[in-house]
Amino acid sequence: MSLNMLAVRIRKFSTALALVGIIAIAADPQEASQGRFSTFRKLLQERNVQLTEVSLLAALQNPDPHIRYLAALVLAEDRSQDAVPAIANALAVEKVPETRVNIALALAQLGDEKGLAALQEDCGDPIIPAHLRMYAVKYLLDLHKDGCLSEAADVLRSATDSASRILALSQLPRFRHLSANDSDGITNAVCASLKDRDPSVRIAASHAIVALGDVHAVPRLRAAAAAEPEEAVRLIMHADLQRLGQKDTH
Amino acid sequence: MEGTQWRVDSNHNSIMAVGNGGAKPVTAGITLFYDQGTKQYRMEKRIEPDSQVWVNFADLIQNRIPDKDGNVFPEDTKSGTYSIQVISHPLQAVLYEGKVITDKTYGHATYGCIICCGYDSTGFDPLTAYTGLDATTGVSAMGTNTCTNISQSIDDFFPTWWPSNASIFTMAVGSMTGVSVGTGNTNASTTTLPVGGEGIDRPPHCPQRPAVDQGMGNVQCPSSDALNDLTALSITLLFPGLETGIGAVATIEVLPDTGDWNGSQIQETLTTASNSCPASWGNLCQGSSTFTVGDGGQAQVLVNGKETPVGPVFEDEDNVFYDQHTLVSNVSLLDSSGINSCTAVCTQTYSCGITPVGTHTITYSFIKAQINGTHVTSTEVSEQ
Repeated sequence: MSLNMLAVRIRKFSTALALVGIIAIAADPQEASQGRFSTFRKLLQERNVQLTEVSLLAALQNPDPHIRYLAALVLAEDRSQDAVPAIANALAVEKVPETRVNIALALAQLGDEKGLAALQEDCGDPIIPAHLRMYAVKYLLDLHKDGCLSEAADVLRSATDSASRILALSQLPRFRHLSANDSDGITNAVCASLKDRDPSVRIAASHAIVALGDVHAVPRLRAAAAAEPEEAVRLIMHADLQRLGQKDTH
Repeated sequence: MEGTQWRVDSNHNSIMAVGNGGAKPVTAGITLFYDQGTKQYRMEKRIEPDSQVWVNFADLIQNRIPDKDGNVFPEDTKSGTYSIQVISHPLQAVLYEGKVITDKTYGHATYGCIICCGYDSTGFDPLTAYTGLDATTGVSAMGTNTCTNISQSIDDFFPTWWPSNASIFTMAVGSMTGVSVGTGNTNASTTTLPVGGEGIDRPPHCPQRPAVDQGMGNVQCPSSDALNDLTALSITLLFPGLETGIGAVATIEVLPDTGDWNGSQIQETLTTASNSCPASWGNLCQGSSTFTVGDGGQAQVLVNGKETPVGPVFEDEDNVFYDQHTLVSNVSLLDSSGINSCTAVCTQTYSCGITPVGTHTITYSFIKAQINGTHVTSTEVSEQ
């Protein structure tokens, strides 16, 4: 066998191996993974950040935006009042919207008004991505502040990305102490989403009706289930109707 | 220590000593009030064990020595009061203070006083303590400062802490950690507690006496749980990095809410109730995670081989833990498997040790969708 022939055979064999590899990657069931919920501390440790106060304060200026907000959140978990000025400074100069809203939460957890004000500002800011506005809504609700109801309803009506509409549907049932008008408004907005073009949003709307526990929405959910073109979505709606304690006639 | 008067004029000078009778260095904050208490002159002094620092009031005034904030006394300052606080670590505080006033009104005379500030031991706080399994709860040895009459933790003076039964809980200085459900005694002892002296027993150094604290310790598990919230996370958050995903984060509250379950460890077991998804996707109902009650965090999934935080963060909340239900892939699993949808139903049980806390049904539904014309598989999660 000449060297040229050997080289051609090696090339062919290598190409074949590469093709097998590509096919294996594309169809490999190991590609599916479940993920895991991690504490802020663990997330920082995985990024080689020490958990001392000195290290956490330094991490507020780390080039990695994830590390910046994780450090702020650990300081908040530690109830580190001494860190408030440093976190406030980090918030003031933060340019990455997701990091900003998460740092604002940390500051608000420490009782600083600037944190709450930033969250209020972010939830109504049409410039930042809609899903981050919903993060701000969630954080305010976590802090027992009900101030962004109209903003959440606005995102549900107008956001172009389904992730934001789904997050809005997760948060709207959490609002408390509502007027009858506001309550009706939420139910109507949620029910309208049962007809959303995205099946995931329709599912989220169905779940939101369960979370609302509003019996007035049941006939509309039942009608939506009857009209639902996707079998998988229809099954979920039926399960939600059962959870609402209603006899599903379909 | 509060409120004693000082005086500096042509006939008087005050010299104050602040001493550390403890075993560790402390930083003392000394505040001198003047101008009828409306103004302050502040100093911080590090004091080594068995040492003193001296403050000569006439020097401070006449030599215009600035305080830590840059303030100086007006030259005509003649009197005021002062207070002393421990800044570095209140638990190490065995400060004593003395003051000598030189009085030349009728010739040369000096007079002054030195007192120690010890503690009257008052036992554990709480006297009956509760903690969760694997959780650590604070238990403090308390004492009343004989100078300030303030009740405070004096853990540092008690070197020996022990439980009556280490198979129920263990103890360290200032805390107990649950090992198994049960009840036992908490104990701490010292042979060297500085106590407030009397008569000739008053300082410069406090007399030291033995003291023993005893209380009760209980280790308990929550009896039930509640699904408070299910935050759905859409695949659009991670598209185009992923073409299958992602799911939801469950907010679980452990009950009864009259207990403090923070720090308790909750384990999960999962079994498959039904599964119509291809076997090649693997076991969707697998997992044996341990959750720490009271910890916040964030969902994390693999994107292009890298663990990536996703979605909103979940703040630490009393008696709450978070559980992530997601399935992700960088290919659209439904499309690569040639099916339109499938569902897997898992039965999940949370336990505290061997005590079941709650059972939930988690339903993963996989549906086809499109993002900007790309076929994707959306992971939808329901839980009850």
